Amino acid sequence: MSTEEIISIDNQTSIPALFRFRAQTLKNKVAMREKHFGIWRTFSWDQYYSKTARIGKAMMALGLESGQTVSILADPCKEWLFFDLAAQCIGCVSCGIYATDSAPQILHICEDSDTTLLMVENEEQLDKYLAVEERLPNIHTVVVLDSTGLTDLDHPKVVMLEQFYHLGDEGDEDLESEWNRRIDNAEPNDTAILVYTSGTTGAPKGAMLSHRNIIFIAQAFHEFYPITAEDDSVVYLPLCHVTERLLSVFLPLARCSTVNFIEGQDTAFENITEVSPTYFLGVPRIWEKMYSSITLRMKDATWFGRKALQIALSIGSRAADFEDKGLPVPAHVRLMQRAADLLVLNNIKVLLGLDRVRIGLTGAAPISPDLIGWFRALGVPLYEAFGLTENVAFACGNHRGQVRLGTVGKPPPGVELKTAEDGELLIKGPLVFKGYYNQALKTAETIVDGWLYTGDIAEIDADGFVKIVDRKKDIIITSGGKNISPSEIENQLKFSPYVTDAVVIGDGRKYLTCLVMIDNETVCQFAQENNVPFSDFKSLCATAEVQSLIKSEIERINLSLAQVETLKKFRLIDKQLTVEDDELTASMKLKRNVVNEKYADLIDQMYS
Amino acid sequence: MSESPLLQVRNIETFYGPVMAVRGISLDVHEGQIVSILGGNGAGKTTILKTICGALEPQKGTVVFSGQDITAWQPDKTAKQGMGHVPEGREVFPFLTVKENLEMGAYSRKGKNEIDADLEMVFHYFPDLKNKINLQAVLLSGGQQQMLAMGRALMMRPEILLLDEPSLGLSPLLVSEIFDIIYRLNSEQGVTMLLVEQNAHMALKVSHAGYVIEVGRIVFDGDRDALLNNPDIQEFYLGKKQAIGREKRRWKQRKTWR
Amino acid sequence: MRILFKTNYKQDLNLAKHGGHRFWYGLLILILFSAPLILDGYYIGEATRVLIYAMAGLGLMVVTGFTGQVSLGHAAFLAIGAYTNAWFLAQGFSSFVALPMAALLSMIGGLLVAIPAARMSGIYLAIATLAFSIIVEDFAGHLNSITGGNRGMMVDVPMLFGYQIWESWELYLFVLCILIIATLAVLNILRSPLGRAMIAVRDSEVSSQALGVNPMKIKVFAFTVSAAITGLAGAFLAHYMMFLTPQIFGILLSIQLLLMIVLGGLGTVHGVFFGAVLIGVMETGISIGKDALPFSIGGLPGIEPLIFGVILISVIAFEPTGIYGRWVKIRSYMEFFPVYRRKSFKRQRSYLKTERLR
Repeated sequence: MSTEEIISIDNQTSIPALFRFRAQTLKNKVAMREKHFGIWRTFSWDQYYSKTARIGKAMMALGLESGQTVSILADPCKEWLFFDLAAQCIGCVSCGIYATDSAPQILHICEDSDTTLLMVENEEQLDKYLAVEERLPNIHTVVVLDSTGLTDLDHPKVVMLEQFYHLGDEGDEDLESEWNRRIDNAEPNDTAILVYTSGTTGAPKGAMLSHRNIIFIAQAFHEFYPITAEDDSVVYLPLCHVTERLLSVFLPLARCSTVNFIEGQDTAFENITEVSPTYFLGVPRIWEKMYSSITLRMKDATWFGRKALQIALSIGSRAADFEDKGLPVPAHVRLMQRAADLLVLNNIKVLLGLDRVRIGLTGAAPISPDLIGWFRALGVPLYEAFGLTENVAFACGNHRGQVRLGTVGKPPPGVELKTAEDGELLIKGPLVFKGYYNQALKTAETIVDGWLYTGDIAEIDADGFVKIVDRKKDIIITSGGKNISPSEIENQLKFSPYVTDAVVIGDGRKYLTCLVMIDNETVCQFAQENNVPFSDFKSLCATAEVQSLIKSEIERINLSLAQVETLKKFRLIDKQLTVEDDELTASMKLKRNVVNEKYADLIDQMYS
Repeated sequence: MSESPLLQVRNIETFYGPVMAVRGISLDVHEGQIVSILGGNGAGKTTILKTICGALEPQKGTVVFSGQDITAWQPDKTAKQGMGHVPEGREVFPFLTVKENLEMGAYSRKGKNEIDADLEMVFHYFPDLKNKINLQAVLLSGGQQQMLAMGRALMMRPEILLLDEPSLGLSPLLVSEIFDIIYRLNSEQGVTMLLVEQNAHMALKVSHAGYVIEVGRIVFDGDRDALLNNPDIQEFYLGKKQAIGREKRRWKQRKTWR
Repeated sequence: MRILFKTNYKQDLNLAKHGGHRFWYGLLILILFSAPLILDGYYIGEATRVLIYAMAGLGLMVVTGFTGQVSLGHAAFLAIGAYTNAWFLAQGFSSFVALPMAALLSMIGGLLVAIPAARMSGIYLAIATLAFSIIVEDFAGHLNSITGGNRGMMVDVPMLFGYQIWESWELYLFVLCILIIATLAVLNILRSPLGRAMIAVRDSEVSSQALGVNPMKIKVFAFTVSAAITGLAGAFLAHYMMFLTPQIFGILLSIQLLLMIVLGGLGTVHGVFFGAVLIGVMETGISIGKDALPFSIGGLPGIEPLIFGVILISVIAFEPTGIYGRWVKIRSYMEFFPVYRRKSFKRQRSYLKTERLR
């Protein structure tokens, strides 16, 4: 690579430098809010920076050198950000671990990344570390945020957060100048963060993302989705996932916006409603949940209310059509839409917490275009975007005036896209990652000639919109030799409020079948309306009425499919799947291979 | 158990104001059975019982008793129909004597001889009450009040007895005694019972079948053996620690049904 | 629909919880103050009557709605307040002295009732208050020198700083100001620990005692505050009627007050105003309506009380939570539209173990 273009924000070419600059210029502006004991408490950029500096100094006092790795194992909270940025500022690499990971998984990541310092949230996470401690000799310190249940702990490597802060407070001036020196020394091509991607084959690999990658994406993102200092967002998805990291750590750094932390997983939706963010990212499952919560509530609403919503949505849909094409909305349509919004739609948005959303995003998994259409009709600007961990979460996206439903939009300036002969999508630009940590072979397979091989099959249409067909590995080849994209079929099925998820099966088989996971709430409601008796979830799935309900949903989508693509049979998964049982990924996608294995007998039934 | 059940509850949904307490509850009680409804605090067990006997009105669903649709009937009507309700917390008539309490149980009946015979039957099962026959009910201890409440319900000659947390607030010894009596009443007198209990251990000892309720929904049902052998019930309700298979779970979410 | 973003615990205590509250109540007060510009003398008089009812009802609501002590004798406090005010004015004092004295003497009266009555409950309490009312009515009839006895007593106009209030709109504004102050005082008490103690005593004396509340003290407090407010209302009633006789303050007036707050919405400050408006409007409305009816119906003796009664019974039967209750349902519908659940307010058979009046 010859002379690279300098990429910077406000003349800062690295994250640490940008962070320090922000703290110096923004000072008392609110950087983050956290709900604590019922009220929202604010933290300014100044406080954010000083806390982070104390942690950074403590890390240096413990002997952390540039280039070493710091791992973070916690649910989203402000300390996550402090540790993340502190590590980057002292020249280390910050690596996040899912709080739902098990001890063996944590062992793999810490080993693979050569972690020297680990931050854990509480006793639960600490226990996981202690289970695999002997095999992680490189970790010399473990910092615990919440000392509940650990007052009697006496472990040479474990430090509580309060003590850890003090480590940095002693030895003032030397550490202070060292801190600033390290920030000054940060090079754009240094690895800033390590993000482990859950591979479908083999163990997770650590993707190295540099300061340059991140700053470029923060800028590119802003081209499509303008964020200002007045914006508010909610932090609720795991921060180790690159998309949440981008939106909640780096974007606010770049654009000076404010982040709001949820109280806990159980109160996530409630908190979103309270904060009413101005930009919001959700994985498709979140949007689906919001949609079905409204459909469910409307079932119990008055007749007039239901009718009003129906009319309001159709008006909203018309207005959205014009907007998506980039055309001006006719005055009378705009007027009707305003009225519909004021009288009907706004309340629904307030209920979901989406009334202030200027930019709604969905990604990380395929989503049904009908679902996006519903939200657009509601008046929520929802755009589908696409990206991999390996390109810092964002490669292309639909945005205002450039929307084509069913596609993931166009790439921003500076990003090149093309498809290989077999249809695999390739990406080139400053957003392509450095490589996998300690995996030269895998890296060489993934980046060839500067092009990132995404592993997704795509079609780029005449206007430059990208349509993702499917993961290369997931494409089904029937015994008749036909190539079928299961995601497309699954998406259509998932738009039904009764279906949470579906897996289409047919690789090497004569015909296609599917396993369906139904939505407990909506199907329960259906059973209640039709007086269908049932006891638990299993018996609900087993009732004849629910079977025929799902059958009719499947027959409905079969109508729009080619003969060879139709689903001939189905079975219901009569257990609620969870992330912990490894049946779902952290972004709540059904793990295809795991499901195929666990329910092999159901599958065999369908093909016997 | 091929004949139709004595009590058939279908798709009950009961609200407390805007809050949905139970949803989608369907259960069966066959004649001669003891069926338990298990669950923790606030699961909705008492709500279900009260909906069945009429103290609460369901917004959806039906209750069919002996082939008769008694949904939303007032409690006095369901009582006359043969549904005996022993409410949570006993609720004996404090200023009436033990004898008068029991006689109140026979309010809707006629026929002095049968009533006297039943009185003897009650004293046979609850000998403690015989000693205190003329004592005001408020002066009895918790355990004796529980016995009195049950005896009073028995005086109705009910077709089904609805027992709401009989073990509430009683010492382990007394709980044992009460359940012993429950068992004997069922096996000797053939009294059909629907039992709501938090004490899963005792309840499963005497029940023929059970339903487990959590947050207003049924999460498991089956006959006694299915319940006793289910690993989730063993872990959540009977206190058996699981050796393997659960480490991956978040502490908060340890309790999800497989 | 509004979602409140809490950044401070004090937000929970605010009377006006958000901008919407401030706007609508501000508008309401503005309209009330500008009423004399729009309405003419007769209607201003009617409005003044409604305001006086509201003040009397506010007093009664404090003791009945919020502390759970049913009082069948609040006319007594109206009487004490009225006569005291009239007497002091007749002696040449200004309203500045007369009004506080009216409130003070009523308060003493309230204390006198409260101390025995606080020990009683239910039917015995009602009888005690009733008895007090009869005694006061009787006193009024017998103390000829002070009250003019059964022949009645003329009432001078209010006098503030030498200025005499003759105009009906001036009286209206005076009453409005005092009413607003009284309402704010009551709202303030309600959001203080004392107010919460009152409600606790209403819902469960045993539980409140377990938390350190002395039910006796609270009930006495409630009675005195209630009497003071109602006494003030009585003072203004004297000015409105301009001529006092003991018969005005009979049991019928007490019952009418009670009816008013129950129909308005027991246990709420809004209910007082809704009730006062209802009764005030009905009385005027029925007499106007009666004239519109053909003589064969309109001329029947007792037609007014009949219509009055029918309306009262209908409100109770169809909306036991009172007019304010109905207003809350309507407001909820609009607030939550379109997701308003059909049966949000469906009444469940009683399942609460509380001693609250239902």
